[in-house]
Amino acid sequence: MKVHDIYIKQAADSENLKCEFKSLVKDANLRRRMSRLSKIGVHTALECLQYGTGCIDKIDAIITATGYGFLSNSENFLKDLIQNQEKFANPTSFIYSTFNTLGFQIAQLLNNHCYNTTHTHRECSFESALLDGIMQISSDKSKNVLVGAFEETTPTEIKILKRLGMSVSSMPAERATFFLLGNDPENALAEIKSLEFNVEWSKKDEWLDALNSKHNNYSHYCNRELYDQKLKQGRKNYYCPVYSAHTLWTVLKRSTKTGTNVIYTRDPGMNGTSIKIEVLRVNDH
Amino acid sequence: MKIAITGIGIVSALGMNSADTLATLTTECRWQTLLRPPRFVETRHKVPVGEVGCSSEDLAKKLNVNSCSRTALLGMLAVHEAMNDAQINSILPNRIALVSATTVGGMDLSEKFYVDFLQNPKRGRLRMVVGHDCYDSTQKIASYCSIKGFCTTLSTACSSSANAIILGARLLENGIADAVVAGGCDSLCRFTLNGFDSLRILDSQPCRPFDANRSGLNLGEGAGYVVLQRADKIIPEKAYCYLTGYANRNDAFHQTASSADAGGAYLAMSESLKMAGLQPKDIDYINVHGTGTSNNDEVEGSAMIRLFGKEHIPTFSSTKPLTGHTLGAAGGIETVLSVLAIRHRMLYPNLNFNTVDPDLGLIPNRVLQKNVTINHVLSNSFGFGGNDTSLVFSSH
Repeated sequence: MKVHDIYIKQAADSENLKCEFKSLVKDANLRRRMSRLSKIGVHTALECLQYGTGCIDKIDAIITATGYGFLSNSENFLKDLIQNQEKFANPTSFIYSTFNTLGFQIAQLLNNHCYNTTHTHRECSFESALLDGIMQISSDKSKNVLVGAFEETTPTEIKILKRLGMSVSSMPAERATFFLLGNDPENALAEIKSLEFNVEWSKKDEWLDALNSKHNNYSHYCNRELYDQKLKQGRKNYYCPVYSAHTLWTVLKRSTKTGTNVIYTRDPGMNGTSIKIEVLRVNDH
Repeated sequence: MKIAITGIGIVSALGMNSADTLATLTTECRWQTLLRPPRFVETRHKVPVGEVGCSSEDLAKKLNVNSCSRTALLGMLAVHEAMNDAQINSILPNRIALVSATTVGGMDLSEKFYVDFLQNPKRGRLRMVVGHDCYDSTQKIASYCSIKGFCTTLSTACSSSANAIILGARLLENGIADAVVAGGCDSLCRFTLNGFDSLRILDSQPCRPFDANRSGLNLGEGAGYVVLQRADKIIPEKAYCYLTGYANRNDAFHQTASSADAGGAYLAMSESLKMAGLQPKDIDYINVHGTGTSNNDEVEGSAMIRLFGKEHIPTFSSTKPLTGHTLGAAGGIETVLSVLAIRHRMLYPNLNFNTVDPDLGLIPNRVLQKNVTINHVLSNSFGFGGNDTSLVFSSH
């Protein structure tokens, strides 16, 4: 669908955090209760909002995305209950294993009662959350919407992926990317032009060509798995669910190319279709 | 934009489909046997649960599919029923969307895999773990039911499928699809049984929502889905009722407990009424979240008193003593029950209520009432992470 008047106001990625976590979350008890993934997620979200500087007075929706959620909490609880024959399991890891834990923790810190939801659709979780965020602004009259993705990779997950014959990328164990969407173009990083689901597989050649093109104002970023499949047919590559959010951040904050940028993500279940995010960079860094 | 509910699908301890469910709901002698110790989960916890009366193997046979997670099987059954019921064959498959919610995903199989894997990381059957995440069930349902439009999965603990229904309505409003199947599915598993046991909130007897002596919840499993369509695109006879209001609000207080002022619950209910353009007095029935835990019922009751006034609380009941708490499926299952209440003009009993809680002074509906005119129903789903969601269904 074509998107009108929706802007990416701010962006933050766990790869490049500037403030100290302690200065953002001053309550030591609260910090201690958070898992590593929660800390990184909350840290990234608060930096995206420039928390503490008073820039954003009101958030109208908090939308998080994750493929596998709090995997280590889930695994710890499972291990605990199996090893202790279902007796005396510690509830803490169970409590914090729910996928909406991070969305809640952000709401709690901001003391914010707004729309709060979590999309868990494997590789497409972020795109789904982004659509939700766009709809919040375009039809539900929200002004500021926080949309982000988070993921962790555990040693167990890596062992299982290897047994499945997948190659595993060397991304950090915990990672998060957050964006602040708004309806106001002032000081925006980019304008979202379109978000399309079920883009036909046949168009992959078009964007692979564009990836290699020398056209200055037009760059394509693609899902590594699809790219690798093109290069090495038949090779399975594990694709991290936050990859597209991270790629979008890279486009906005790291790329030197202004103009229209397109990010493709393969939809793993929909018979070779992909999702396409088109953004127009309006602010050069 | 007015959103119509044109199809329903349900599977739970009450039955394998909506006809079964209706038969159980109207047969009083069957109510007390719905919650029993688990038969299909290998666990030492012999507490009452609302189990679907069919093994996973038999479910797979019934559906004629390869074995997969019980969550996905339950979802396929209910979505298939909802789509048949709505008769949406004339809509192109790529204009039909699916918004499915789950909290356990493929955990019923991955927890079995993990027993072997813990002993030796080279052991455990891989096909039991590949469907671990929430996405897997949604994709299997979409594929089974030939849904080719936008698909996504939500997971916000016990409010998950109520949020899926909200997202479904918004997809229609934004023209992303012409029909949306929305709801949720969850199966019983050791993970959640032990999780709620570790929190000491599993009642060893059938749960007693809003009773002074309530001592926890019973878990359940199942799936509940509705087909949503724009009211202006269908003939009015096709609509069971309409989704006229909804609100998702966060309590922003505590991961597992609700705030004393019931902030999130109050906001969710009052904002959904506001959206529906209704006054509190217009509500004929509240299908409460009513889990039977001390904290939930106290907070939900306080929020109801704050919104409606103690003297004007509408007829309300928790259907969890009939189904158990089906977690991510609860919002979907209770939506289908709300639709059936409006269509069949009946109000469900809140079983096992004997003693009024002196702190609340609230008495739920205790018997099955028939031939009642029900114009507006409020359905609550509150969850971990302070996620509070309310939906309003209206007969016209």
